[in-house]
Amino acid sequence: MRLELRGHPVFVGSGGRVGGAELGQSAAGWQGGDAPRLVLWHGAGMDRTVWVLLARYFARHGVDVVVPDLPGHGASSGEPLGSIEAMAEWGDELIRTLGEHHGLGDGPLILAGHSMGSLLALELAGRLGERETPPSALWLLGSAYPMSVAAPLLQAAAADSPVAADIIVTFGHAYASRLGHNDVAGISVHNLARALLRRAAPGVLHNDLQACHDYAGGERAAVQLQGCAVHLLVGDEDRMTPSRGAAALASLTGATTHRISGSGHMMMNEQPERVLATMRALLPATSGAPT
Amino acid sequence: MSDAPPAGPRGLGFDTLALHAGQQPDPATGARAVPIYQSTSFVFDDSDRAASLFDVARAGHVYSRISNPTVAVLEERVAALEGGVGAVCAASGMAAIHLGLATLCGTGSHVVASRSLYGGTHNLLSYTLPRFGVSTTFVDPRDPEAFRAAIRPETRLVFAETLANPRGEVLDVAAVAEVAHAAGVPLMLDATLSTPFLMRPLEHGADIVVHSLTKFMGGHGVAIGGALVDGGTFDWEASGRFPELTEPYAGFHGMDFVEEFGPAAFIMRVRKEGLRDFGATLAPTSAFHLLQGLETLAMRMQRHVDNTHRVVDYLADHEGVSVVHHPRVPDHPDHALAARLMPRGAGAVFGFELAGGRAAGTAFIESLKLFSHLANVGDAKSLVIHPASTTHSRMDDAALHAAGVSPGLIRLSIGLEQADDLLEDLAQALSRAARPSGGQSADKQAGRNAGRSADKRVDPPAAVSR
Repeated sequence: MRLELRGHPVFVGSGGRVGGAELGQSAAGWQGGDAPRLVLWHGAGMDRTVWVLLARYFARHGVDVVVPDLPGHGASSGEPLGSIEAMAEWGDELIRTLGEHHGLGDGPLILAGHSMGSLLALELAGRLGERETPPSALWLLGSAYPMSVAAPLLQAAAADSPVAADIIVTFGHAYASRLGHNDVAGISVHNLARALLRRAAPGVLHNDLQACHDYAGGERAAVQLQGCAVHLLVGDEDRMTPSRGAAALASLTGATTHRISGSGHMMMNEQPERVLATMRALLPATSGAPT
Repeated sequence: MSDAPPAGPRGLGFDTLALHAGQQPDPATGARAVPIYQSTSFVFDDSDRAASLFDVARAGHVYSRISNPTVAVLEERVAALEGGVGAVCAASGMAAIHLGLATLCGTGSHVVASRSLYGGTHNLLSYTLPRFGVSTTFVDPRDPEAFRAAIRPETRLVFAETLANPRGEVLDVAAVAEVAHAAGVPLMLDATLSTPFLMRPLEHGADIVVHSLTKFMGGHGVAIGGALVDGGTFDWEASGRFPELTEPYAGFHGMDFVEEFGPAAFIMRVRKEGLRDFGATLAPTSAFHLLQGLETLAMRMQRHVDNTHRVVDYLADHEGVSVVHHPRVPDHPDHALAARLMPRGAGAVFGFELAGGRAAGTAFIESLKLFSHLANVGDAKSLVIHPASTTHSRMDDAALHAAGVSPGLIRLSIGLEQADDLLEDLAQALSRAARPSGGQSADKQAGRNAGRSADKRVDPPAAVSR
């Protein structure tokens, strides 16, 4: 759907119009009332389309799926937000707006984010916890804290050089993914990621990477997560957010770690079936969903 | 410290991708070669997975008309070699072209196309698609401004060949892409004769690439197939001309392909609508044969162009030849452009004209012994044909003239044989074609009757030594 937030058009995906279901019109019955709300945040320089299969799967299972394009990304206009804190504030406002004006229900809230989106989700979860309304679950994919970004990548992104996309594409995929054999017939995940990154407007990728690099609010957010089930999905060949940083984040947040085999950083496209299996197994435990 | 951005990481090389892209050793059996999954359909684990596959909510295969594991390897490999986000294979190159056109066009749509096209494509655009309400304006491929002038509000795409035959026109891809993009339409290129080894059109601004895999990509003349590659570069939303991609499609659960798939919107629609509804599917066994050829594309293409250079140089200096239409020839109109876009060589298919006209042409073809007279190009074996009576036979005289096909034109497709043997065969055939009696048929019969000794009487040393 398209809506306006802070004076700018925003695009929010809902996992497709499967069966005509819209936000708040769940197709499945849920224990204890409203269907869970699953908000999926994309990573640096990316957009909603990285979640396409997962979003469509959960939407057709009655989950209220919310897949925003952050400002300046995908089909949302406006300037990109310059910090993880600013992104979380915007995300908070978006979810409230969707609830107040666009039919998003009050079901258990699951915040899921990939890479930069995982920091956004963490920061937003902390803010909600601070208001004593923490999300039911926090799913962090391809995440680490701190999320330091290597100087050559920042430098290339600052110059809007295509080398930045090449670095992310090369180091963001498992070796097997660089060779290929995608679960989705005929699609090169490697080239798809490059095409998506190269679509980003000038300055967007650097803005995002710098925001990841600078984010220092993880400790503050983590102490507000009481009652929130935190799960970390880690690609076993992730070289963008290596296991040491992921372990630090798990320790900080008390997260349960789930290994996604045969995957690098871009796990939703590299191993969509394995990521789905993990998330599907987590859903009932964290949202009261039917099994 | 320099402010210059660092060099990018090295990607996997072309030869490596040609061998490996799209395939991991089969997890069930460990098979190193790509298995042929000769199965029409694939079992669902449960009803939830079945429903999810139909809704494109999970990845996997349902029915081989739409996707098949063997074909998918070929698709991903072609996409990797071209640098595209994805590819769909089809039953032939013409099926792939039709898939691309049918995905983007409907009644009332218009195409701007190069007038130098493969005869089958010319037929499709000139005679068949108009019956379905799609019209085409043909323009000079060497004139980007002609493309610009022909684009109308209802134009859906610009279509051309990277390297045309038989006159060897080379498209200035970047210039034509700029024209197309300025008008909000994509550039779709048939890159059959260049292959990604000689040029990758997406890197020069093309948006969609189509191949007849039957030709150099497969390379051995054993399987028919085609492929359509999506560069993921065209902004369908900004164009505003493609509701098929930017508005809900009632034929697929109201799916908005751009909303869902972003850079892969086009190729997903090609599969979900085009293969589903038109059904011009590539057979898994054909995909296997084409993959065998694709593995050696780099080595083969280098040999193809190396041999071609020998042949072109020989013919260009032969007194019985009036013109050689290959960009290697310095006075070819696209000599400089070809050197820039295809530095390894401008392909291995080209035409030339005999000084003796139609009669000489007929005599020449019938005198060849190593070249095969047939309607194909891009085989490992060298081929020859007379376009005016075969591949371009359905063009009227005006269209023939516009396509640069004269009655005496001979087209060669240079194979992988020893170059000296090709030159020897050409030399003896040129010699016979130059005889004023025109008695080639009798000569040829005499040669056959005499067996190999007839061949040895041919006097080629001067030609072969070139």
